[in-house]
Amino acid sequence: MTRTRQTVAGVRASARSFFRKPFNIVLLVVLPALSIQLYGISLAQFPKFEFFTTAASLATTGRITGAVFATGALAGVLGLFQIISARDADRRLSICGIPPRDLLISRFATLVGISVIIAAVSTGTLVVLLPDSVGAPVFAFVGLVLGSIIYAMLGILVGSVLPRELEGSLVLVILADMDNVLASGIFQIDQRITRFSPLSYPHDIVTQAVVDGTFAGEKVLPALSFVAVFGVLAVVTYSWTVEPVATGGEAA
Amino acid sequence: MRSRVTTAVTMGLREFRRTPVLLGLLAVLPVYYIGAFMYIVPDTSLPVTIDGESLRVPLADLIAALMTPLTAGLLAGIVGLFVMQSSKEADGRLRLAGFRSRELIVSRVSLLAAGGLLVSGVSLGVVLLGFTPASIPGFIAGTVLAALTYGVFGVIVGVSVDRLSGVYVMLFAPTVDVLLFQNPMATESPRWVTLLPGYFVTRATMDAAFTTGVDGIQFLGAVGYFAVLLLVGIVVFYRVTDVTQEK
Repeated sequence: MTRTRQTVAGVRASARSFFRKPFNIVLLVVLPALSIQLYGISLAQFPKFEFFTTAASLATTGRITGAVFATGALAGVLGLFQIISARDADRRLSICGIPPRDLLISRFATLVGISVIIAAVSTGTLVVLLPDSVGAPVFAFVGLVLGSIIYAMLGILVGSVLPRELEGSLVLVILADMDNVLASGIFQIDQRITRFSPLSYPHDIVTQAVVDGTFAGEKVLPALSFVAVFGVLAVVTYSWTVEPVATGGEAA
Repeated sequence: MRSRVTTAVTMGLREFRRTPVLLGLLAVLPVYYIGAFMYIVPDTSLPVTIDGESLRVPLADLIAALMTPLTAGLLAGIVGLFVMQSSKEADGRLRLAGFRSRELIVSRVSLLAAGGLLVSGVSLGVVLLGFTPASIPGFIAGTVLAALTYGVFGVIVGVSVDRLSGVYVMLFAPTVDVLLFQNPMATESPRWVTLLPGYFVTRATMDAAFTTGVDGIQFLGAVGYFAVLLLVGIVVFYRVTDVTQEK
């Protein structure tokens, strides 16, 4: 089997293991809708305090926050669980001679593919559920894709460093919840802090696309930097956990 | 019965002890979550109505008071979810080996309570460094009740859906419930939010945090909600581990 065919087979197998479970499909559709609505309703309950610094109404900001959070969280938790469940299988495959790099490529490609699908579902749901029309749905989709991929990489990274579901979930849930607060833009928070919030850039892109209908191009590079940093760290840690067996060493 | 329960609880606690990373995370994550939240909010105060009293409270204090039951509930819920998931098969086997359902239930609830107390203790420790509630015993009671309520909620979720879906539920449910829907800053809450697990317990905790008199009705409501949730959890647990049905 050629390297390309191996990778394609790996992507297909990983994607099939996700889509095989009907509940995953249900989550993919229901979770963004639920999150968008719940965040929209919950923020709409608050009066407009002077320290709220939202670009749009609280209901719209809530729905945007819900969309960004649901997209990131879905991809992140999926990345975490995929990498933890694939670890043993990948170790065995590396013993069988498949290079760890190929295994990694197929895992990453699957997650990026699913992340794009998640972002597409979230964009569609946001367009339907927002009371006002979305200024530029395509730009909102770009923002959501970035948020989704950042969190998919973060999920892989957390899963590689903490390869147990309970510990990994605890870390990812707390990071995602805190990141969502920082990114939401509800409070005026020092930029020296928010610049370290991975979701803040996708959130800004989506907000600008929804409210102004323009593209926040200056936010793309920082967002891609998060993808690159998390991606490189995830590759290094995941390779480290899989590779030793292939080279005859002790598994991590 | 007591020796079997003691054995099961001891084994469960030993399992906890064997995972120092988990214990470390349960100690560190509340520090990050609560500490960071208290640090980032603007230095301002706002008018809120708690238990019918109109008050003006610093935003950082309000957030500290809200984050304590939230963090305890969130972490206890995730622990409850995974305790249930990991013990599901073992408990089925223990039933076959002669353990009674009520022995298993008592041991699992004890284990959950231990986890809930741990995360409550850490969360309270962080918050009490920077915020003094009006009634410290009431505030502690509210936080522990939040941990227990969401711990049992996590157990029910853990029995009902798989781990991946369970983590999604726990990712959203406590935060949206406690931080957003039960937030005293909210003035136009829909009526259905009174049905959520965080309703009574958050009101009781806020009351203990900012008013001098502890509202017994809210505490009774929180205990009642916990009792009902526990009952549902026991029924669900009994069905999962009832080996006579596995034919």
